[in-house]
Amino acid sequence: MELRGEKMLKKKRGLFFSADALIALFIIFSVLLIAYSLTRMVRNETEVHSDIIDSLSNVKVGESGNLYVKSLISQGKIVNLNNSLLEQIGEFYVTDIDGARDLAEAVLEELDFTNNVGLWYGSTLVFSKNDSAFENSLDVDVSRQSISGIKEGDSVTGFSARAFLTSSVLSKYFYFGGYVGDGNLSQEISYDGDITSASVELVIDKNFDIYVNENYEGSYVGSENEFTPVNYDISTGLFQSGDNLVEFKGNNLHITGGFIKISYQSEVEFSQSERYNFPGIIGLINLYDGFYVSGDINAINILLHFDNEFTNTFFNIGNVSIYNDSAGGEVSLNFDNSQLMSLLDYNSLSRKNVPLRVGMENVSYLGSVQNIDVFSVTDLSASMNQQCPTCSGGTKLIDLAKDANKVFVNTVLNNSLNRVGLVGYKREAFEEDYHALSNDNISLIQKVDDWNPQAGSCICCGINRAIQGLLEESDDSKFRSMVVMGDGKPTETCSEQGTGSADMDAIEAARVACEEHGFIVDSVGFGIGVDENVMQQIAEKGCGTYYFSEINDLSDIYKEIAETIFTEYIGQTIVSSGGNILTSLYSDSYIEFDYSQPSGIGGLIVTLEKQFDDAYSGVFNIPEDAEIIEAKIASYSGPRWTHSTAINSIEFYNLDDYGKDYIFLGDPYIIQIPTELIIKGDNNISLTTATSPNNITEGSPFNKIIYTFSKEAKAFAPISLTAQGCIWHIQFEDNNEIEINVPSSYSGTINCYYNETHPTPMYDNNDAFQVAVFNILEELDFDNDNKVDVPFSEQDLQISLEQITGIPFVWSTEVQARRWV
Amino acid sequence: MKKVAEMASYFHFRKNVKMKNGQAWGFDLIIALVIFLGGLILFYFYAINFPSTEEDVFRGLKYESELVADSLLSEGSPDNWDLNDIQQIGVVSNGKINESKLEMFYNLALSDYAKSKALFNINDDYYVYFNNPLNIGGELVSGIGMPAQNENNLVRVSRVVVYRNNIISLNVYVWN
Repeated sequence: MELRGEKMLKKKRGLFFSADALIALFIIFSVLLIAYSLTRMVRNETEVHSDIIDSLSNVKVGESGNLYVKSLISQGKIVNLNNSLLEQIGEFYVTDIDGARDLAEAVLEELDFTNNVGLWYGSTLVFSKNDSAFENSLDVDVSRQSISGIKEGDSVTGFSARAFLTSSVLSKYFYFGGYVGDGNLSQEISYDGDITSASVELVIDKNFDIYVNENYEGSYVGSENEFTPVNYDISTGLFQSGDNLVEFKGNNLHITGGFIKISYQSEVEFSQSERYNFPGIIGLINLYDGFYVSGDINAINILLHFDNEFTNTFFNIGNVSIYNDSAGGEVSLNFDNSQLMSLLDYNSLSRKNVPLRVGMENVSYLGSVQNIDVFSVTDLSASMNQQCPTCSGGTKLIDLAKDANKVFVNTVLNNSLNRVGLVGYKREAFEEDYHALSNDNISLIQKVDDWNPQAGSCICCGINRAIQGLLEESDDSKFRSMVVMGDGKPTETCSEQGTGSADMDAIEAARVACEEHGFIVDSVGFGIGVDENVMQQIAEKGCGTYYFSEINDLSDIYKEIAETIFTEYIGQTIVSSGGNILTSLYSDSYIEFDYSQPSGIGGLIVTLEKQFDDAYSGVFNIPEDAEIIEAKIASYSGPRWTHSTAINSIEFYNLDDYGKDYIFLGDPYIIQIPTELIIKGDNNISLTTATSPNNITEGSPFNKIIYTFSKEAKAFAPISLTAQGCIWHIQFEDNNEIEINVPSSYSGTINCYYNETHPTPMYDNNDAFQVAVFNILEELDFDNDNKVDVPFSEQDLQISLEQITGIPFVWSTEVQARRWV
Repeated sequence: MKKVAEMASYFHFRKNVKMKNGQAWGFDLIIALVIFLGGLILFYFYAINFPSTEEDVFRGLKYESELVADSLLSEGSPDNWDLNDIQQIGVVSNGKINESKLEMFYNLALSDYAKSKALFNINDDYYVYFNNPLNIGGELVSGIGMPAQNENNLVRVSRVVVYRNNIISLNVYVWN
């Protein structure tokens, strides 16, 4: 073993130096290679662009040997001889960009190099020497330097500018009511000043002509439906400062909300109205409107000038009848304050939206009912043969049901244009128990008397039969509904619904009636044995109302339902029953309020319009630095009444406060929002409409919020190096754009932009005019979308300039020298 | 007897081992020297004789031209050098061409061009050219160094510098 170990040791010793030699060679070669490559790598690329920045920084203009520089000095265009060439070009860059380019060209033009090189001040290319365009560059090296200048001393002049908007252009709205009809309509327009624009926005049922001061202005197309306004600009040439009359003439017109808007230049300050002016109506007097007084009412005076020799004319404020009599012809009625104080509670009218109604009592009552087709669907199951436990003389439940149906028929048929149909259901809806829609109450009552209960209760059969009857015998010009009565639980199913459950088939049939056909399904649960859950769901899915009736109350319930249906389907439109009835309400009629007005409204008065987001709600925003003056909701409620409005979930108007018989209540198109409820920032508005307290629904998505606030609209520029101005391209919120030379004497070619296409507004922040205008535009862009929210004209934007001497001011920019290949 | 014979055999073995030990160390050292010297000689011949590619030549010239340009646009070493103590040529003081240094460089290049190359640490020839002739010591000079003649390769590097408060181009050519 020992011998073998010795042998191995010898072998290892024999390789020792050879291995060292190889390792040494490897290390030497590696070091040489690494050192060589490092030596080659530490070299930088040529630094010609850095040299340019350095060289321009190292030469003072006072020392420069360049002849062009010397000539500028001798001309007095260069004043500060201690400026470096880099700074002097920068100073020219902010005062005279062409001068900057000329100077850069003069001092760099003789340079001879093969690279593409450019010199940028800010984003402006001032000098370049290149073979290929920078835009096509593959590789770019940049050398940067920030430069700034502080000019001081008595000989230095800086500039500051103040931009402001004047309130000389005012907007004024003249509103129509929620319903103004029916005939030729007119509105008085009063202003003092020079009118600049006029437009109408209204929902009007037919094509119409506009006359201004009895001169034909134009013909226009009516609204496509009763909730969609049309907008038209009208010529201002026919208007005159003072009182004007705008007439809408056509075939028995009615307007369901709208306004005439004028803009005019005036020295008159903004003031809130002290008077409600009635619209002019020549035809059938049918006015639904409202008013709002924004202070404590001290006194009211009314002049009502109308002509009606046919019927009583009624005039209601809120739910108080001010007048209801036959005038027998044209009259001007004065209601003085003492009279009105005895009728009205002024406190209840102050700071409230008050409905106002003027109408013709008999004509409007008789003619205003919309046609109704309604089925009474009655349970004729065997359980209806039970004795009435609380009745005398052997009266059965079916007898009570028959009595209730008779009351229902007679009530609905109070209007001969309405029709009633009858469906009785047992294990199915047999034809022997069916009566088609009819206004023949004798025939209908005879059918009711013929009813005999039998086994089975197929509610779905009854609903399906009523649907079939409405589809076959009625049309969508009518208001169509059904009243479904049941005293127990459904027992039969229907193949039409096919749910396999009698309950579910009945509920599904109601859903089909409402969702697929637009029929209203009211339901009545009769007696203690009724499955109320099913009846409630029938009403719910049928978009109707559920009623529960005690045994003895069924007739009363049916009468209530009949009256409700009758009321619900009354619209505001008069349906003339014929004859040449011609009445007039004159536009010189008014209500004058003496109330305490807030004073001292200053600043720029801004009126903005914001359309609703949907048929129920909208949002408007009050800037933090603004003072709200007033805000109104314009409700295009069509033939319905504006029912309720709320701001930030606080209700401030509900028509039901004034009564439930809407036909005698007014319908304000403008609902004023109490200013104390308006907050800075976003305000959420909600609104509903109704034809009765039980038929509440959405409004129009074209509803809008019209709000006015005051705001300090002025902005300053800091002391700046120059004040040249530019041509501003300004986009407004309505996407109109204007070009304004600011100042108006500006004749250069520099363009500045405040619009959507320039998310970063383009202007020179060393130019006092440009900075001041930008600042005021930014102030008037309330939602920061690069569109100015307050429309104005070139004349509105005023700018003043101050020359400031001896105050140091700073300009700054970044210089970049770029080299590219 | 047997014991005596075993002892004689043992001593003979010990002697053989010592002799073989010394031969192995010496042989290994010789081989190591041959390998090491052979490697160095191969590297030497490779460095001397292996032909450069065109790109290598260009990179070498460019490197040298930038070396010259960087050196010239520095203050040199020492800052206020003269021909007696110069370690690196630089003609700029306070961001501008120092005319005294420029004149010394001009004179050095005229009198001892090889030294100027050595000071720039380059092997190839150089020529510094100005876009307008400069007045050096009363003489209008458009360039300093060795103008290119029958050159095989030439590289130009441009820089910008201030001379007499004018901004001028300084072009360095290196050629072989």
